[in-house]
Amino acid sequence: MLLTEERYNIDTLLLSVVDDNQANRLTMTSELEYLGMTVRPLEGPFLSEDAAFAAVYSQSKAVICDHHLSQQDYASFSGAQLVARCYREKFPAVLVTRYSSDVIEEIRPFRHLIPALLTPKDLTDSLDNLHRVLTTCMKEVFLGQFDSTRRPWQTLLRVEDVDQDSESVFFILPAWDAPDGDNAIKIPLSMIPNELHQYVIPEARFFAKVNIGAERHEDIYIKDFEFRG
Amino acid sequence: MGFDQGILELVKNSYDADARRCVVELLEVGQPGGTIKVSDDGAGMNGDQIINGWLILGESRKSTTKLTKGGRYPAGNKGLGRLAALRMGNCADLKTVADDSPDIQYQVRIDWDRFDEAQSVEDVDLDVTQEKTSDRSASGTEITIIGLRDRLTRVEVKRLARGMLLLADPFKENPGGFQPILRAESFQDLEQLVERRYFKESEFHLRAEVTGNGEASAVVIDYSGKILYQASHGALRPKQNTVAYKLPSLQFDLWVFIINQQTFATRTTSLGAVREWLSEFGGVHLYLNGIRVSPYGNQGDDWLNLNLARVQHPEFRPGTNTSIGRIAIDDGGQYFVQKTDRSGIIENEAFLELKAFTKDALDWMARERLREAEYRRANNRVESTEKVRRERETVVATLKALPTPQQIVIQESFQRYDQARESEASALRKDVLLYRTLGTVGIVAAVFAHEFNRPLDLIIRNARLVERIARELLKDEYEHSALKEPTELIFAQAALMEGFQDLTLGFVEQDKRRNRRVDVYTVIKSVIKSFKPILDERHVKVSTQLRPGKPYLRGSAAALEAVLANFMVNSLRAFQERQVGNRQIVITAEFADKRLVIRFMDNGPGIESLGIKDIWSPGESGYERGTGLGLTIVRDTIRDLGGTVDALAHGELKGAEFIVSIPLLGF
Repeated sequence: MLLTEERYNIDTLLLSVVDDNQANRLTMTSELEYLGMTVRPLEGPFLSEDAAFAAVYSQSKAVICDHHLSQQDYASFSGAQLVARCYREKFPAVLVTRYSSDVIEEIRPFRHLIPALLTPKDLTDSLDNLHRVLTTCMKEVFLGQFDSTRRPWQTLLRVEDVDQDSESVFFILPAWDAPDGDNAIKIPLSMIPNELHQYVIPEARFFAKVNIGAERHEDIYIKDFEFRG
Repeated sequence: MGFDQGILELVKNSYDADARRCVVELLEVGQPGGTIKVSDDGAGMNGDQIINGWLILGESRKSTTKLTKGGRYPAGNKGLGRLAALRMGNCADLKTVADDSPDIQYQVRIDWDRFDEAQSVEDVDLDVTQEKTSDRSASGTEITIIGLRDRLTRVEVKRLARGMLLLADPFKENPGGFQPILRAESFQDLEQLVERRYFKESEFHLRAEVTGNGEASAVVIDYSGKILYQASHGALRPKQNTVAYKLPSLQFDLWVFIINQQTFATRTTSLGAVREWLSEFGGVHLYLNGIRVSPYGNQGDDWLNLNLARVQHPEFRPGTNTSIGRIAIDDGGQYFVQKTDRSGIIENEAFLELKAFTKDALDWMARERLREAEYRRANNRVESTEKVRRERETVVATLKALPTPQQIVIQESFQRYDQARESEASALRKDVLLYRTLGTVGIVAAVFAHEFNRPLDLIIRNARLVERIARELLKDEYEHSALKEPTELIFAQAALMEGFQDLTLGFVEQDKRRNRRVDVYTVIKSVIKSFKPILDERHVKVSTQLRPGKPYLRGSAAALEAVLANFMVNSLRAFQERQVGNRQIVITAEFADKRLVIRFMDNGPGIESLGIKDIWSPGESGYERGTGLGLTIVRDTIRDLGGTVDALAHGELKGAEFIVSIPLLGF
């Protein structure tokens, strides 16, 4: 399978837009249409993730999905969950959101299943940028080819701190050349398999698959934890 | 070696012999000539073991790393302690029945007088006799030390009791556990101490249960047996009210101790003894179908993460050094499965559910204790107000009893004092109100900052779309069109609003409040970046002169940000007071010993409306609508970081200058 096939021609790609806010849907649609894309905003509401995926799959070839979908009774699941579902079904999906540390934490458990995460402004900044994002997404989803910022590597992590209140763990990733030198990542404890929880204490070391080529904190994903004692 | 050490050595020998019970009897020990008897139901010894083991000193057949048959790590030593104990009396009798020959009792008597009379040790024969027992007796050993050379003091017996406690299994129900018993008529309280352990020194006893149908309940009792808090199933797992625990019936008991000098000041049990006991046995032990399961509750084991939770809330959370507990489960082998190597229980769904249940119970207890503390705090406030009123009435009534001339003088004095105190109280009440108001403003701002972001983002994006379409349609004419300037204005103002939103949201990020290693220069740069939209809008140039390095300290980024943000706000306000023409803020950082000295200076009008010492006090503001709290927050925050802060009314740039000196962990 190659991306040169007609159905993967970005210029003729039909994009759906999933967003609970009508003004957002309209704006995103206008921006994408301005860049020459054919766009179908999905009005919703969607009573389940299955229903949302079915709608996206049947009406488009790729989806641009906002993360917050529950504020206006549009859906009970998040955009991150829907994009992760699309990934598993080998359907190209891009997640858009305005970043804050809370949002990044919500997204983190699914990050390995989200090939592209951008702000709406960045996504529609230029046609080249949009093409690049969609191509990267499709290569990963269809061909299993990872961008250098997305490729997983077996790496060592060290527990820096555990926050019982928020049930989160702060890991230091020594092998990651973090942009500001701060190579600490916060993840929910639920991302670590239950049977390993007893080992999650400060200074404990784990192995996991991490995309240490990532250039931003929000792009880091961690999966397949191992504890070797 | 003290008497207690010697006898304890005999008790340890019983422990190493896998005894379940070991009874130490002290008979008429209050004067010389008394008797000590140590008897146990351990493995006993046969003749060979007596001759080649027990009677040989300085050489022990026991390896400290090899477990006993019963799986215990040997506690005893190489025999010298045993010698010291046996030497305490004129003679020592040993009677023992070995588990491999239960119909024979071996005996030997050591008469020390014979040794004293002999030229050398070899001259004294030690006969190990044996006789058939009338029935097949259980194995065990009895050592009797007769004719004690000295009396035993209470201090020595207490030390013995304490030593026995450190060997005893804390929970008597453990069939494999070691249960030493002290019988000492003259020291009945110490007898009871060994019997009951230190449980009665606990401050709280949590008992949480799950019934056969998965419904839970819990109760917390204080040291006197009074019920403090109670919870039904719904209160224990509030998020999943109706979901029963997928567990068999079980009981979780936890005794929580308050380990500080103040609590133990008036008790007969010493803080050190309890601390030592908890250090040995603290934590939660697991009993499955009556058998204790390792390693749960072993020394250093914290399988329920008590210590982690305690780090977050030391006042309301027990740790393994301040509590001891037990979970007793009878599941008939249906739910829990031990690992084949006996290193614990397989972490299946039931085990995880068990951990969830104990967490729910502990979280509930912490919540109740917090709620009670808050309630007490609120009551204290009410009570103290009432108390002040009553005392005042007492003073006034007392004054009336004085002779008139004195009454007048003292009354006037008291009135002035009263007014001054009322002024102070009033100022403090205003501060509290202001803090609460600011706190509410902060909360609302944080909540709505998220909400403002969406329409703001849409404004910017649609403005950009308009600009792009306009450029496409007008091509080169766009630059001179009437659309350009308003569009650019929209962008600029929207960016400014975004800056304000990000600034607000940036300060309430939860992670910044976490106590961790903080890179100081990163925080300085982050604050400057956050304020950039406002600084640009107000034409303020910020420059830094930071000594090369990576200074860091232990604290929260939020604390340091608060300091710098308050300085920034002060400078921005000051610039409004007087035209400067070339607004500047300079931030420098230098190292001095193991401290970082940060100077924050501007070229504004300086500090003129307030005395330099008054600027730190709450409520003192140089601005008409100022809160007067910014620099108070700075002062308190720097103090919490272990540093100092000073101010110059007119510093190097002629405006206000603040000098912060904070200790560092490293460079």
